[in-house]
Amino acid sequence: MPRKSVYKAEIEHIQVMDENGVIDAAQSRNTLSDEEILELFKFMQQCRQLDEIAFKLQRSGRMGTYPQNKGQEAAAIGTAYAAKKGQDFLVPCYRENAALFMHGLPMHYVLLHWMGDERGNQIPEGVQQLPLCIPIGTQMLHATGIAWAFKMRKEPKVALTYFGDGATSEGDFHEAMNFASVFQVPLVFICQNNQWAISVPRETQMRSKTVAQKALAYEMPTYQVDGNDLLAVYKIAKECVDRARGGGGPSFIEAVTYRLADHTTADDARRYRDQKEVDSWLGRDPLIRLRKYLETKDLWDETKQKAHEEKCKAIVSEVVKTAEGIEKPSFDDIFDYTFAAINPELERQKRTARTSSLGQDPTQVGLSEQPQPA
Amino acid sequence: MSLQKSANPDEFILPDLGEGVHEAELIKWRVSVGDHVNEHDILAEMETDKALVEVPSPREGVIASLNGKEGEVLKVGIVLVTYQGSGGAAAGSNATPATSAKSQGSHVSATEKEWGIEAPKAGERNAVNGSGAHASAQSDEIEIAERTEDAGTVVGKMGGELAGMSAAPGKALATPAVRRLARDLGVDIDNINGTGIGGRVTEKDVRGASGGGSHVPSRATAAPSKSAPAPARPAPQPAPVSRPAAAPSRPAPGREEVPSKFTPQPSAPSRPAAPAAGSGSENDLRIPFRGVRRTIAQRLRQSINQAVHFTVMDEADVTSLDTLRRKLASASGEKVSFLPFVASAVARVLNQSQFRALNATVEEDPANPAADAFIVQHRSVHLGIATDTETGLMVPVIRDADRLGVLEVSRAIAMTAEMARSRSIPREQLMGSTFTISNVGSHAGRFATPVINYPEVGILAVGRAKDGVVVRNGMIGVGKMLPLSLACDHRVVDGATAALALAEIVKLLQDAEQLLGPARG
Amino acid sequence: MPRTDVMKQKGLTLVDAINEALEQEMTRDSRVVILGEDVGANGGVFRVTEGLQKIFGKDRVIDTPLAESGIMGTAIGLAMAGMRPIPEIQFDGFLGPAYDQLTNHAARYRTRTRGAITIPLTVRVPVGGGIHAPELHSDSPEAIYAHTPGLKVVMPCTPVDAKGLLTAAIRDPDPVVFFEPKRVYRSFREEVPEEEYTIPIGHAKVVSEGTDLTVVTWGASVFECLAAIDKLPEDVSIELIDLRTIYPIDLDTIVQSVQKTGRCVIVHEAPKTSGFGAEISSLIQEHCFLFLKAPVQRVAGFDTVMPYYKLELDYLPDAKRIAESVTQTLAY
Repeated sequence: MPRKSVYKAEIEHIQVMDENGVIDAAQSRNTLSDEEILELFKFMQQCRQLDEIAFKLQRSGRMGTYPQNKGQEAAAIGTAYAAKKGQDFLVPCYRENAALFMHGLPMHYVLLHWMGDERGNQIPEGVQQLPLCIPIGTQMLHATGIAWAFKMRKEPKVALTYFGDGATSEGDFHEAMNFASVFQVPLVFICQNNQWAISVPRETQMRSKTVAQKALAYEMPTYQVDGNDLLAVYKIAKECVDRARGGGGPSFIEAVTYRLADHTTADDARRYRDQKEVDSWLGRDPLIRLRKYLETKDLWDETKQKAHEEKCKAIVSEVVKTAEGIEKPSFDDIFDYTFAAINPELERQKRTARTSSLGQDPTQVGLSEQPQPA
Repeated sequence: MSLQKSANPDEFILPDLGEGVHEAELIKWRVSVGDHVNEHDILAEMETDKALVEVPSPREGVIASLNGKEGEVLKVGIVLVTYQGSGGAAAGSNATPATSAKSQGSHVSATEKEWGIEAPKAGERNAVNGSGAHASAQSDEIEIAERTEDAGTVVGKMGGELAGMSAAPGKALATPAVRRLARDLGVDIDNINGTGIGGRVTEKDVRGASGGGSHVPSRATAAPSKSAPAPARPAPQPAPVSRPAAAPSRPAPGREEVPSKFTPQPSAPSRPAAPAAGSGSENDLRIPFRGVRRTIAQRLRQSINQAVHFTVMDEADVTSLDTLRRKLASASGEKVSFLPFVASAVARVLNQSQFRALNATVEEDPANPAADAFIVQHRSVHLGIATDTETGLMVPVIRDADRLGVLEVSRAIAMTAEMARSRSIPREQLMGSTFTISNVGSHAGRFATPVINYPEVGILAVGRAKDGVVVRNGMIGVGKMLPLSLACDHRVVDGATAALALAEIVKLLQDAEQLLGPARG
Repeated sequence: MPRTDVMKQKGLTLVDAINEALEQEMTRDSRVVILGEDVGANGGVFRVTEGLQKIFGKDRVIDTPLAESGIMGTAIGLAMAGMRPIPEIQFDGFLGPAYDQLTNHAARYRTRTRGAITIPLTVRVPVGGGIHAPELHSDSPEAIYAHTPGLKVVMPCTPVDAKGLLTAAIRDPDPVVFFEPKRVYRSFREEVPEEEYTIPIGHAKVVSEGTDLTVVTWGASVFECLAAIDKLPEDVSIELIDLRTIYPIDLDTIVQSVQKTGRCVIVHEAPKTSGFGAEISSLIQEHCFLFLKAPVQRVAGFDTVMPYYKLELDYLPDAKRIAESVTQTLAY
C-alpha cells in the first residue's frame, strides 16, 4: 500500500506592529483602536515603573528576591485585555504582573508577596485570579481544572494561564495540555517565551524549533506571535478567548519576547548571557514602538511623557508606602490558616509556642489538668 | 535572609543583596558626603559572589558619612551610609523614613507583645552598630541559656536519675510510675531495696516502705482555718522508714534539682544553703514541694487571689434527719451519711432563682484584669464533692445533682469517691462542677473558712455532727447539730444572699422528708 | 443504587459502604465529581465506583488520562473553582507523581492565600499489603502525609466507619487523604445505616475496653490485633484503639487509655522508622510519662522495601508478633 500522509502542520508567526511602530495594514484587522493603544501604553509605563522600583527595593534591603517583568509587558497586557475582567480567570506564574493589575489586583499585593507576606496572596473577593506560583509548571493543571469547572457548570467564562519556555519541559505542562484538550476546556495557554530559564537558553531547553509546535501534539490551535507587539498579542488572544468562550476548546499562544533583566535580583545574567544579545533586544522593547506609533499619530510627545512619568512615579510611590505601611502579620497567622478549624494539637502548639516546652506539663498530672482550648 | 533595618532612620544597613549573600566588595561610591540624594538614587556599586549590583538609597536625605573604602570587602549588616539629622529628612516628599520607622516600631513592639517574656528586642538584635551588637549578642546568649534551663529537657542535668539504666550505688532503678508513687508517698526511693528485675524497685516495695512508717494523717494540723477542698493535702507526713544519718542536712540525692527546673518560680525553697545553724535540722523532714501537692497549692493560691472570700456559718438541727437517715440506711441496706442529704438540700437551693448567683462560675483572665470577664450562672447543678485520696484532694462531680433523689446521690458519691481513690475516675468526671461541697474536715471541728474551688463562687463545708444544746419551743434540749460553713466570692455573691441561702439549706435539713426526692423532676 | 439482597441480609462490605457514601454525596451535592483512571466505565479496578457513571453520567464520574499529577492538579483546579472533586489514585505506590501537587499546592493553598482560596478535595487511595499484588501495590505511606501540614489523613477499616468518614471527608473544607485498606475491602460485612451520616474526622474508636494494656493501631492491622488479643489468656484485659484518623490525631483518647493502663503497643504495616507509631510513642511519653509501667512498643513493618508477595506475610505484622509484643510489655 502506498504511504499516505496522516499528519501535516504549519505554524505562522504573527506581527502587526514592527519595532519602529509601523503597522502592517494587512494584519491590522481586529486589533486595537488608537484610543485603546494610548491607554494601554500609559498603563504599561505604570507597570514598568513598579517593576523598576521593585528592583530598587530589593537592592536597598526593603524587599526580598524579586523577578523583574521588564520587557514582557506587551504579552501580559495584550492577552489580559482580550479577556473579561471580573469574569475570566487568570492563572499566572510570576512574570505577568501587568495582567494581574489589569484584572484588579492592587499593585501592592505583588510587593507584599516578595516582602515575605502571605497577605499578598490573599486575592480580594471578586478578583478572578490565582496568586503567583513558585513551583514551575504546576499552575497550568490548576488552570485546566478551573476551566473544566466553568465547562461543567456551563458558565461563559474562560481561563488564561501564563508560563515560560522552561515550564514547557515539565511533565505537568504536558499533563495539563492533554487534559485540557481531551476534555475541551475553555482555556488559553500563554507561553511567554523570553528565551531564558535562568541561565538555560531555549536551545538547550528544547529541540523544538518553536514552543508553539508542542501544542500540535494535543490537537490544539496554536500560534506564535511577536510577544513585544501589543497589537498582535491582543489580536490572537482575542481569537483564542472567543473560541474558548464559544465552546471551541483550548488554544496555545507562544509570545516571543525577551527577558531584559536578570532572572531575579539574586541572579547575574552577565555570567551566561552575551551583552550583545541583550542590546539587540533593547530596541524591541514594547514601550519604544508604541511611543513611536503614538507620536506619529500626534497622540504623544515629550511633554506628555514627562508628565506621565511623574504621575507613574507618584502612583508607584504610594503603592510602596502602602506595602511598607502594613504591620507585620500576627504570629498566630502561622497556625490559623492551616485548616478551616484548628485542631487540638495545633492549638496546643500555638498556645505553648512562646514557652519552652511544647504543651508538656512537667508535673504530669495529666491532660485534664491542663488548660483546655476554648 | 533577613530584612535588616536599623532602628535609627539615619542609618542605612548594607542589606543581603541577593539570597544568602554575606559580604560584598565595595567597587565604587557614586555619592559623596554632603550630597543630597533622593529615594532610589544609587549610592554605590558593589560586587558579590553572585553579581555586580548597584545599591540604591532607601530614602531621601543628605549624606553624612560613607562607611567603607573602595576595594574593601564589607559585611552585610554593617551601617553603610548615614544621613544627616533625623526628622529633617522625614519632612521630604518621601515619607519613607517615617514609614520605615513606623514599621520598625511596630515590628519591635509587636515582637515584644507577642513574646510576653523578655525576648531580646528583634529590632535591636539586628541593629548591629559597634558595641550595640556585642551587648545584644551577649544578652541573646544568656536569654537562650536561661530558656534552655527552664525547658523540660533536663535529662543531662538530672545526672541520669530518671534514665535509671545504671544502678549506681544509692540510685534506684524504677519505672516512672513507681517513682511517682514513691514521690507522692514521700518515700525515698533510693533507700528501698528493690525486689524487681535487675534490682528494680517495684510498686510493692514502695508501698511496703511507706506503710511501715508511723505517720498520722494530721488533719488536725490541716489548720482549722482552712479545712476544705483543695487544701494542700496535709501530707501524711511520711517519716520514711530508714533515714540514713547522712541524709539529714542535705536533701535527698538528686531530687533537689528537680523543682528548680520544673517550677516557674525560682525555687530556692528546696535548695537552701545549709539550714540555719542550730535549727534542729537533723530531725527535720524535707519533702520536695512539688507534684500534685504543688499543683493543688497553686490552685489554692489562685483561688485566694481572685475570689474575695467571706464565710457565713450556721448549724442545722439534724435530729430528725438523723432518724430518717438511719431508716433509709437500714431500708436500703446501704450506708447513708448526712452528706447526700446536704447535697440534696444544696441542689434544691441552687435551683431556686434567687440563689442562682451561687451556682455560677467566673470567666476571667487573672493575668489581665482589664480584659472582659463574665459571671456565668448555670442552670444545671453539678456538685463537686471534695474527696480525700492518697494523692491529694480530688473533686469528682455529680452531674445534674438536682435531678437525683437522696439515695441516688448517696450512691453516686460513694462510687465516684471509690473511683477517685482507685485512680480510675474518668477525666470528664473531675470537671465541670458549678458548686462544691466538702466534708473533709468533718472528722473534728465545727466551723471552717473553706477555700472556694475557683472559678466557682461558693463552697459549703460540712462539719462534724455532734450532740449539742438546742432550744425548741422555748425549752432546752439535746439535738444533733450539723455545723455548716458557706464561703462565697464576695465579688459575685452578696452577704444577704449567702446568709439566706444558708438559712434555706438549714431549713431543708431540719425538715428533711422533702429531700428524699429530686429537686427537679 | 438500591441495596442488593445480600447487602440487606448480611450487611455491607467496605467497598459497598464506600460506594454508598459516594452515591449519596453525589446525589446530595451536585458539585461532587469523581475522577481517576478506570473509575467510570470500569467502575474502578476494585469496583469501588461501580455503577456510579451510569447514574451520574460521564461528566461527573470521569475517566481521565493516565497521569497522576494531572489528576491531582486538575482536581485542585476544580476545587479552587468551587467543585468538590474526589480524585482517585489507583494504588498507594502511584502517589509519587501526584505528591508535588498534593503537598505543594493542595496542602498549602489555604495558608498561602490566608484563606482566600481553599481546596476542599478528597483523595481516595487503596493502601496496604496482603492481597498478593504486584510491586508498588502494597505500601502504607500514611506517615508521609501526616507529616505534611495542611492535609488530613484518614484510614477507616470497617464499613460503618468508612461510610461515615468518607462522607465527612467529602464535606470537609480542607484536603483529606482517604486511605482504603484494600486487604479488608471485602473480607467481612456489617450492618451499615442506610441513611447519610458522618463520623467526625479526628476521633479514634475504642474497639474494646481494657485495663492492662493499650493497643493503638489502624487499617487492616486492627483485625490482626483482634486476632492477637484472642490468643492471649482470658484474664488479660486489653484496650484496643482503632485510630481511624491519622491526622489530626485523637490524643485525648490515647492518653486517657494509657494513663489508665500504663502500657502501650502500637501496630502498623508501614516501616518502623519514622512511621506514625513513632509520633504516637513520643506523644505518649510526653503526656503519660509518670503513668508508664513499661516502655511503649511498636510492632511494624521493617525498614525495608515491601517485599513481593511471596514474603509479604512474613513482613506484615501478624497476630503472633503482636501477641508476643503485648505479652512482653505486660511482663516488663
